[in-house]
Amino acid sequence: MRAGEPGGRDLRQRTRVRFGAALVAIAAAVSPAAAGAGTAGAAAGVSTAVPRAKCGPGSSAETGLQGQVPLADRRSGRSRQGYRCNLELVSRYQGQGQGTIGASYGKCQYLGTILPSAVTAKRPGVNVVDMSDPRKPRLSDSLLSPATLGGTWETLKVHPGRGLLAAVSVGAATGGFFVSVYDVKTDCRHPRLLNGVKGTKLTMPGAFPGHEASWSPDGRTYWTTGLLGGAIAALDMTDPRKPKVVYNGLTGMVNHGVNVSPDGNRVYVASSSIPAGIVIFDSSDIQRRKAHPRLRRVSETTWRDGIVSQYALPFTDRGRRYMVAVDELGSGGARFFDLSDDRRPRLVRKLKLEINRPENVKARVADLARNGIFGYDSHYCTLDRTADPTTMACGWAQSGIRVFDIRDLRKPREIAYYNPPAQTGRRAKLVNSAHAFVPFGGYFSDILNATPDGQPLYTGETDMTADWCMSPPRFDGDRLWVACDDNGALLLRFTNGVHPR
Amino acid sequence: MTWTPRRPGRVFSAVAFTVIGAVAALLLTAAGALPRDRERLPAAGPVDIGFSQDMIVHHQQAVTMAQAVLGRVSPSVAQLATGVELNQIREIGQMQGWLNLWDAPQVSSGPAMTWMSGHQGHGGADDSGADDSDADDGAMPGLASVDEMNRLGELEGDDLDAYFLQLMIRHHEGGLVMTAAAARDATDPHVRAFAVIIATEQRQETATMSGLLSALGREPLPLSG
Repeated sequence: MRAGEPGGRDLRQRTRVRFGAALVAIAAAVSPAAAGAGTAGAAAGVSTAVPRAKCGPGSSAETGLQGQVPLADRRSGRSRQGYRCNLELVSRYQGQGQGTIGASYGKCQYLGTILPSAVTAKRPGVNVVDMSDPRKPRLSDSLLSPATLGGTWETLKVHPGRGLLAAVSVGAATGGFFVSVYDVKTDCRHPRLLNGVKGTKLTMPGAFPGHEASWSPDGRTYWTTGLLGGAIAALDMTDPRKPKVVYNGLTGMVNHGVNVSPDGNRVYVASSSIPAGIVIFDSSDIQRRKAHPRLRRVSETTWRDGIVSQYALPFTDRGRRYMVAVDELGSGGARFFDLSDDRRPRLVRKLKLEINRPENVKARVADLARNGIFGYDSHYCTLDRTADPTTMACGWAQSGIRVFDIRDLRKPREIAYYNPPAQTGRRAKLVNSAHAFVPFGGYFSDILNATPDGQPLYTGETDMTADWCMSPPRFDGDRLWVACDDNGALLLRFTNGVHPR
Repeated sequence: MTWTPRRPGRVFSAVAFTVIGAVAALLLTAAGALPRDRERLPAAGPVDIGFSQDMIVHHQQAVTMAQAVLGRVSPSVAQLATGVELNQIREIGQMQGWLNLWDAPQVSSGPAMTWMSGHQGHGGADDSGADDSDADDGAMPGLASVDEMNRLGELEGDDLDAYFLQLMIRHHEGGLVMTAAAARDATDPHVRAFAVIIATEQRQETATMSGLLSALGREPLPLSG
């Protein structure tokens, strides 16, 4: 079976170092561990289906199932035109691609890095893209510090209230060691490193894990998690010139993303263990800066129709507390939990695209056989606001950017999508794309769903027949700021009046 | 937070192989999902579970301390620190594995040390200035405070060597209180034996550290509480 055109031929000769680094990248991105502890509240029989968006004028609709880039489109080159529905492109800056997740503030975008690009990129470091003139997006700066050069994975996060951008050097997957904090409020086009040693771009290293990170809503704490051993740490950012570790602990087998409640007294830690799930911890010791802080387990919610949970985002709806939990692999999709009693999270609704349904596993495996470990998988979802949200937008890897009307949490419906043009054949330019960099394209996401006695593991190049959109989109009026691995920084606009607001 | 990793490449390589191993383990178990023979698992009591949960926390701080000084201390202290780190990481893995087999949470929901009868709870030294109300809910013996950990990141030279040794000696002394209770009260004989092994190993390390500290002309810190 041949899927699409092969990528650039110039990178056929690869070094062992790159191959090894990619193995690590793949392993670390999934790294599930043995079975975890008890479960709570993951009720069966909750609907997963989300009605398709009704695409208005100017759309270029998907040709297959909802979320699918069919094999025929990959082979014919149709996927190079992309798919859009009620979202149009306002601006794009591709540059050298971006690594896993990017961030944005004001009219600027910050593109995440992969470790090898510190050596291979023409402009190493976190590229700063100024989109104040959307017709002429430009590279205004590049952030060179140990953390921003060291592979930022899912640590590159802005605290919008304080106008601070932070990142951890994740390295091959589990790093830590360095954190950088930038002022982006003064001039988002030229962020200023705050914790440099004596005015240099060097920062003091510390012992804390890194793979994912998240700001507490009050902006005082920057949490980091590592994959191995369930490592988690909290860095005090009260004085961003001197980040200080105020907690360092282990919470489970394999931690993934982390998020924090509005009052700072709960952290939500996604588990890359099996089964997938979210563990809620009481973090009040850390919030209160106790001398001997501990996390205390409040509850653990698990499920089996997805793997490698990505992260959870708390919000309120009509005064009631909820979280949306997102899986990274296994077509797990997103799901809403009622957290009125966070000792017993109650499943309210799941959201999966048509292509994510179990009956479509064969189509998935055929489409995705040669385009890397991430398939039609959700990754990061964001809300237009965290109290009474109307809209949720998600980076859904090879399904692109997906947007849902969630005014009724029990009846979500899709209102728009934008799956950017596949960058087939452009691998050589995309030295900072976490997707393009991976030198072999074996599909992993359905490891627990598809029968293992099928085809042998594909070890050729990724075919680049669809992008990986992994970043959290940011709502900005009728616009969405987002980044995808191969397409780089994107600015999108809703059309046809679909955004409810 | 002051630690310069001298050989990050080695760290990454080690991590990489571990991660790849984790994935390989999944691949091996995913198809058939290992059956659990409950009959053959020794029963775990509250002491076994509580000791494992708390000792993971206790061990983890020793790992952080060792990692925080690597590359900045004298060769003899560095050798000791690496040995401590490797022992504690290996034992953390063993306790995490037990908790999994017992279907017990990795992290407890309540105060620390409730599994130890008669334990009043006490933190380490030097809690002045910080919110120390946690002294009441059973902080573990021998643990360093946030400020002490950060001070470890700021010192240099002999002062760093000495302070690391002082904190680690106090850490290990506190650990002995816990291992003694587990060796006596745990249900599972493997846990009781494991507690003795930890105690033996930490006594040996403490003897070495005391010698190194003495050579620097410094005194150990008191185990508060």
